[in-house]
Amino acid sequence: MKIKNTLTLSSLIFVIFLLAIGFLMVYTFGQINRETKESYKATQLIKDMFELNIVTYEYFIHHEKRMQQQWKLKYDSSGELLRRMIKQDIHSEYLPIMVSLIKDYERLGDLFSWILGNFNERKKLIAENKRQAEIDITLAKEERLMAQALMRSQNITTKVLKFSDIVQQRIVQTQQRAIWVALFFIIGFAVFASCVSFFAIRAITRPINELIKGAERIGKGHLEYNVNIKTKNEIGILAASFTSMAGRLKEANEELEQRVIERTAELEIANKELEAFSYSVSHDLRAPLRAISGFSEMLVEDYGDKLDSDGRHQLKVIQSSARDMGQLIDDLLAFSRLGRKEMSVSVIDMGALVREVFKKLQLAPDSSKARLKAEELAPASGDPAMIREVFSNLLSNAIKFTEPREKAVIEVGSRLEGEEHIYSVRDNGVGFDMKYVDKLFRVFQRLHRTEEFEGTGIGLALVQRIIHRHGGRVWAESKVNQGATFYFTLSRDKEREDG
Amino acid sequence: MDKLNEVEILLVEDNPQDVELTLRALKKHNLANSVHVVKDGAEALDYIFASGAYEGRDVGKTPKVILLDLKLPKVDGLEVLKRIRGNDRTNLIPVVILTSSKEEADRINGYKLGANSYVQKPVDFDKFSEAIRQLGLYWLLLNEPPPKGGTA
Repeated sequence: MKIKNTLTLSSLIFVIFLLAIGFLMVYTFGQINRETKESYKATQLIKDMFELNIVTYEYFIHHEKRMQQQWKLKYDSSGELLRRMIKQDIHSEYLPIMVSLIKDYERLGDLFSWILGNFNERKKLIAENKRQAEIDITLAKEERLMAQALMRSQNITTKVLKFSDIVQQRIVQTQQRAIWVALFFIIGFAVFASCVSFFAIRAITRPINELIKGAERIGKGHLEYNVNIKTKNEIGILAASFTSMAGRLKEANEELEQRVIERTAELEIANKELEAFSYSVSHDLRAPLRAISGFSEMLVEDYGDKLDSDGRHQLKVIQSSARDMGQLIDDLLAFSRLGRKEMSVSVIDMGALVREVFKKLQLAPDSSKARLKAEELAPASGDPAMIREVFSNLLSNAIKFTEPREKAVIEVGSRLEGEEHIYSVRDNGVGFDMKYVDKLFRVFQRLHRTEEFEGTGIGLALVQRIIHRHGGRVWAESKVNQGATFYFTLSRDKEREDG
Repeated sequence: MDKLNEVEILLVEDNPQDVELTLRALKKHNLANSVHVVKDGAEALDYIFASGAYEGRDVGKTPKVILLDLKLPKVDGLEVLKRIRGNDRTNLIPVVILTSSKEEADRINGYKLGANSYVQKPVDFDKFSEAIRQLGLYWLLLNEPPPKGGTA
């Protein structure tokens, strides 16, 4: 509010100043103009008077008729000029001088007429042949009159010159005055302008800088910073709303944090519930399955001879189904447990791990006689238990699908490419059609029927999940009947691996 | 069949089907002669410490091995284990935890409380049968049992 008003007021004052200066200029110029005109007139008058003077002298010297006429002309025209000047608006201070000028002028005119009269009288006297003494009187009179006339004329000249001086002085005075006034206004303007800028600094720039500083502090996270601006104008209001905005941000932040804490607690509870659920599933589902499997076996053993081959076949189906279900439960549990488990990363001796896992797989009663070729494997960083699962799945797959081969060979290798280790498990088994490579890693997706190769289809999904949690990639290449190679990457952790 | 004086295996199991399967497996391998079955934790403790229904039994006559299920009504399996290991007269009895659970927590706690072995019951009967056979052969024939009467 106040800034707007102040600025409006300032602009108004500026305009008034400018108008005042403009008006003053116009006025002064007008005045100077007028006085210059008067000066011209005065100059004109001076010229005329000088000429009148000269003509007067000449006439008195030569007494020619022509001179007389000239004098009359000059006298009349100067008289006209004089009268005109008095008639037009002339300064009051000129008036006395002009009045006395007129007096002198008229006196001069009178004198001239008298001289003329005297001259004519002398001519008459001479023509009437009067006594010399009378003529002498007229001569003396003429001399006297001429002296007076000349004196008058001189007076006039002097007065006119004085008049001219006064006029000039006036002009100079007016100019000087104009300069002083202009200077006064300019200085006033300058003072006013500095006041305005001072005000601006105080009311605008400094608070804005405070605001900027405040914004930076708040931006860095100090949400409780109070922008310290005391001016009661728009900027003060801005600062206040700024501070309150920061305060609200802080509140919102705290609210969010609180909500996050609550949500995390909720999630932890949900997690715990899920774990409890998985546990019951694993435990409680197995017992009945065991009963199904066991009792159907008992049936076969105790009453198998009373059953025909169909009957025994049906019992076998029951048993194998129970077995499958058991495997499925185990796989599903492992898969779900993986998502919840925390990774504990350390450096893994991959070579040792592979050999250990392979040996364990070989111990299983119905394992094939596959041969393992594990070259020097680079150590990697990861969760050992999880990576063990990966190799367990990949190797058991390799073993499974090389079963039909005479000489089953499984090669495990590694190479370093840029910032990641690439591990590969290659077998010379039955392979798969690359057409279906996308389905390979999905849960329960299988590319073979259960009669051909057993399995639940979850092994590779598990592998992918584990590797993805480690931030790596999995893929596979194969040609039908020409074996398959499975690859996975683990990113290199220089510090861990070298240190 | 249960000669209270010569019990070699104490089977602590609440599920009757599992009991039947275990007994059948033991029978198959001629190990079923001296099995006593208790169906919950409380009964197990009563038997071991000769209290309640088993008052009068000679506590010193400890079995060669206890096959202990974990999920038991009344008193939980791990609690039973704790009590067995807490008593001087019974703390040396070999205890094999035989359970459906694959949970790591159960395994860790079992060993922490002093179990000698932890076996997960396979779903497949053949495998189950084989496991029982191995357990029976090992603990009844191969293993040298501790002296009766514990460390007391």
